[in-house]
Amino acid sequence: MDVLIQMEKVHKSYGRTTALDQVTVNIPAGKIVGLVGPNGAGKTTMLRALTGLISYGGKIKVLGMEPKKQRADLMERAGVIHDVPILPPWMRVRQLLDFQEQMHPGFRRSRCEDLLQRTSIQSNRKIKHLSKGMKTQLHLSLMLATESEILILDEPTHGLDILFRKQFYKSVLEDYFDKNKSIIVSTHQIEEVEHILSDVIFIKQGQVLLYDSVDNLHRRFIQVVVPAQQADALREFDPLTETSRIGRKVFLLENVDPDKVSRFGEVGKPSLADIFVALMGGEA
Amino acid sequence: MKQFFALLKREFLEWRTVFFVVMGLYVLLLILLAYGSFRLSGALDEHGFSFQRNGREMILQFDQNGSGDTLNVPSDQQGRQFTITDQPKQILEFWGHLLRTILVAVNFLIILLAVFYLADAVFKERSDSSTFYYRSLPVRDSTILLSKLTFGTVGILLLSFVLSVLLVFYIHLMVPGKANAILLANGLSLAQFKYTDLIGDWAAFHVLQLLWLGPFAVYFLFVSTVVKNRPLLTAIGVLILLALAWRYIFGPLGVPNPFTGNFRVFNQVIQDQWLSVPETITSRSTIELFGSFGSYIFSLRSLISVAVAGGLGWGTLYFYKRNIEVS
Repeated sequence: MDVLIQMEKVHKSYGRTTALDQVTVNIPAGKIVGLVGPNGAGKTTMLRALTGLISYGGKIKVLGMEPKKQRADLMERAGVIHDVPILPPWMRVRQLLDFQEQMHPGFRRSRCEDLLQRTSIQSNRKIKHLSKGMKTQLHLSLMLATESEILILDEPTHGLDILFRKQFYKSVLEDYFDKNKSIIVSTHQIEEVEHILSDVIFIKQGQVLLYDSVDNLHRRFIQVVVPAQQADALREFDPLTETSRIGRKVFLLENVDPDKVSRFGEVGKPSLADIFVALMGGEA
Repeated sequence: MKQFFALLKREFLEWRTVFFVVMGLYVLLLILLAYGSFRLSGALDEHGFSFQRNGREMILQFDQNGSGDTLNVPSDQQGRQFTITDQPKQILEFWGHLLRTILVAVNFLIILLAVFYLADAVFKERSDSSTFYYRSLPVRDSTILLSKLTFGTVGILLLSFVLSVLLVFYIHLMVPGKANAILLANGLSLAQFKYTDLIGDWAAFHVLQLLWLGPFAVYFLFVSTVVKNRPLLTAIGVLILLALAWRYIFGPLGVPNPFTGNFRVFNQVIQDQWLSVPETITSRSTIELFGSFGSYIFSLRSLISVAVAGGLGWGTLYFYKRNIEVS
């Protein structure tokens, strides 16, 4: 499988604060990768390094290009949505489409107009007069109508309501993703994107704690819900976490055969959020 | 190239409100000029100036003191050199100075616009985060900066040139009949101003401005890229401090202050080239009020300006890549 992103000993500091600490990851193409970490973990720094917005130490290749030196070439094949509204507030929607059309050879205006027709965004409105949700919708429509091989989303639904957040990811899945495209999405609200991810990267204090496929994680971690009186038996398996749930105990176990613990209670798949919290040591 | 022009268009669209304000001031200037011309015409009437052409003979009459003096200029003397009497010379000088003042005033107004634009050009997109959008497009940082610099220098000077030339023609049209008649009587019709020379020279002056003020233009863009707030105040403040420091350190040694010196030389060029109206002038000859700035363009000062602008330009690109946000 083609390698989409190569990061080798990538390092970035802001003064005395280390934002990325010797990060090494290789991400293959055709995946939807969640970059998950608490606030200040280094998610935005990593995505900015991947899009050539900041300088860094180490080596990065995205689609075979070095973002620091080939940002313009890379942006011809990559789309980016940030956590804050970044579209020029003084422009009208129509002017934005004109501008995008002139600036990006991969932009399909008719497709963008089709996508915008599904929304309540009018072409003569100024961007500064749109709500935050509308601005994100507009930016997403722009990205979905622009040919690219990778879509990089940095907490794109930050500050938006739950209905819109769900609609956003539905659009990304239905209107963008196919086997030839990849998505990297950073979030600290993992439960929102869990259902769409194929892979996940957990990041904490600039270090990658884990990078694996969601399928592997579900094989590696199991959740066992047992009556309170069975708790001691489960503690023998050295659980990562133990929580209470109305007269029952919930354990998260790593690398334990489900058959060995199924006699104590119900064995199931833990959510990525549970795994994340466990690995973060309760700091999520 | 398509991207470059799209970026230029974007700059215009973003700044058009400011342009409209400048255009408003320009129109106001035109109205004031029309009013001034009207008043001048009235003043000429009040002083009893009149002009008649009787066959080939021109008759200039001025009755300022109620004396009814009349000056007949016989046809056989119309080709000779006349000494310009006080009143017509004042009128001629008025028009000469007006042309120069108007050109410089429009130019100055537009240069102020350039200063405001350049100081805010990068800062504005950094402060509203739209810089992230522009940087998510397949366009090089250098192209974005070059479009801003081109718009703030070539674009704005072009605007200055077009507006000021239009203004000269406007003045020409607005010359009150009587004033022109008096000038004609002395062989000094405004039509004798060599407009092609004037426009050519004015264009060369703009090229010279581009070269000599280039470092200042890039400097303002540089500050816009570096600071976290108040780019215009910072840029001007630092410039003043630098000028004062330079004067304090090098003043006694006689080393010219590079900042104020630039403007001093600029002023000198205008003094050298835009001569006052001569005391005497040959009737029917072309009046060359404006000399050529061409010789100033290919000078050591121009070369130094290009080098300084280049250095500042490199610094601007360096910081543009690093300073994305203002917070």
